[in-house]
Amino acid sequence: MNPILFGSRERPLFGVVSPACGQRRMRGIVICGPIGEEYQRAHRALRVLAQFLARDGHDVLRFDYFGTGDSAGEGFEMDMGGAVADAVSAVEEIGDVAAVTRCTLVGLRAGAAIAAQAANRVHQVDRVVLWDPVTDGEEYAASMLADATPLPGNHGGGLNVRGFLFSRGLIEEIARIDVSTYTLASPEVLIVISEDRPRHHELARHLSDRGRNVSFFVHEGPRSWTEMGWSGVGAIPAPLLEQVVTWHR
Amino acid sequence: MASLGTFTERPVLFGRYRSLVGVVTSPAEDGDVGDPSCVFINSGIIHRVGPNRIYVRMARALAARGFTCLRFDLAGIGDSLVDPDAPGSDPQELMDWDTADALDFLAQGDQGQTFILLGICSGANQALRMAAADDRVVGAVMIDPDTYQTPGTYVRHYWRRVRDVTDWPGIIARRVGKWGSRLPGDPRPPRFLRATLLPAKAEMERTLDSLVERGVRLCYVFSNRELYYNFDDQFFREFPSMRHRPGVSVKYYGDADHTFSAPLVQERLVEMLLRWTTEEFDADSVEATSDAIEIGS
Repeated sequence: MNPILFGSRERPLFGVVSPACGQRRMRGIVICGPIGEEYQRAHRALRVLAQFLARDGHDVLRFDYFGTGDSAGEGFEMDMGGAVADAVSAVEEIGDVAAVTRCTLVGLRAGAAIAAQAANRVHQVDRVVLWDPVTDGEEYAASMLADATPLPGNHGGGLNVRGFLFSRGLIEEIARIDVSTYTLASPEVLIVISEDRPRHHELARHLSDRGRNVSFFVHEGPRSWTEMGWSGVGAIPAPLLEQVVTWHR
Repeated sequence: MASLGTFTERPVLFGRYRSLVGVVTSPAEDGDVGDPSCVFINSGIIHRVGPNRIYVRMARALAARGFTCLRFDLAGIGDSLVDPDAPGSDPQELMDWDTADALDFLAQGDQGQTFILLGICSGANQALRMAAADDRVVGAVMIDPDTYQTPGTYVRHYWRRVRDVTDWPGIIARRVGKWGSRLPGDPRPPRFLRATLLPAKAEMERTLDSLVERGVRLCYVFSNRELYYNFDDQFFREFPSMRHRPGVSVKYYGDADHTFSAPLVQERLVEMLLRWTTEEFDADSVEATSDAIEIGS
């Protein structure tokens, strides 16, 4: 594992590269995490996914959006446009670091919406994995707002959502996420689900109707993005992670 | 390396197996760098950014004040791997090795010869343990470590519960029978997490005494943890011999939760941390503190 800094001088981003082991498949994989407390919880599962994929011959980059994790900036400085640009930058970075021209974007929860939008902006991305994608942004934003407390103007005028800072603008952008957000140019799509909802099936139909080759995998069980006990972190859904690896073979 | 105005950051890979991942946050101007350096230890199994990213905020504020900081993941947590060749399997032993590796890494890179260890919850316990074991440690900031209750802790806890009628159904359900299930809103954690690894109180007192004699500065910080710590003077009631000892500081945040999740409370905590480090370790002036830590500045 190689921790790196990449991105621009104004927008330095932290990432971790897991180089391919054994026979290289010459494919880069960029993982877009969820946001807020869901990212804190899912960090462990995302690391394990990166290890699985690297062991199977892929070069993998996980990264923190600007304003999150180890990257520069404050939470309320994050917005969807910036996060999509960060994901694009990550695709370019893994291309440079691993000398690969084909790339998969994997996105978990809100990270799936970010991955989908980034995929449409870089031609190297020919595969997308949507992992428990947020498909009802209004409901998701409402759940955030239910626990939100406003912060004073000198704190960016944002909101404290269960310990994490968000701008009101970002929450409004999240509220606009729906099935149409995932209108992908990439021909190959895998949807992996640990919480089966009708909207996920609707998403699969939406993509299939537009000629995408969609694989759909459900494994209901412990989720990576909800808290396990009082540990502050989520579970590692191994069958689901293995499915992501298998789909790439 | 990323230059972020008042501090710079660089990711690092270190340890005897080069399997530990961390981020070094340094003062922007080389001239400001000096001892001690600060090392943050994981809170439970949350990765090195800390609960609600509070370690990031603390490290950046401290670096802006002249302290080099290392946030890192112990083996098996966050991005750090457990090296299969590492001898032994005792988790505590591995944690001790990794923490010592973190200090060695900074020392070998001329980034400090003495250290302040900081941690929340299990990270606080580990900070105290390593402070006692390693003479290079000159300070420890322990946020919500495991602690000992006094009779006053129980009195306050149960009096609050009796006063709060919304708690009654939960209390009755548990008292009526073991079958009484947890009701929504009952904050009681699962039993396995209530287990404590605290040494006997007399042993802890000896440890604290030896640290104070060695000149180690101890900063205890407690949130309102109901059954565990719930009033301002609890620490000194637990350890009366520590009262008025030099270098022992205790702060109680009655309005804070265990992970200091409210940003405004986090801000007060960081401000206190800066004041404590500058007072105890003679770094830059405390006057400019609020500019450096204001969220969004």
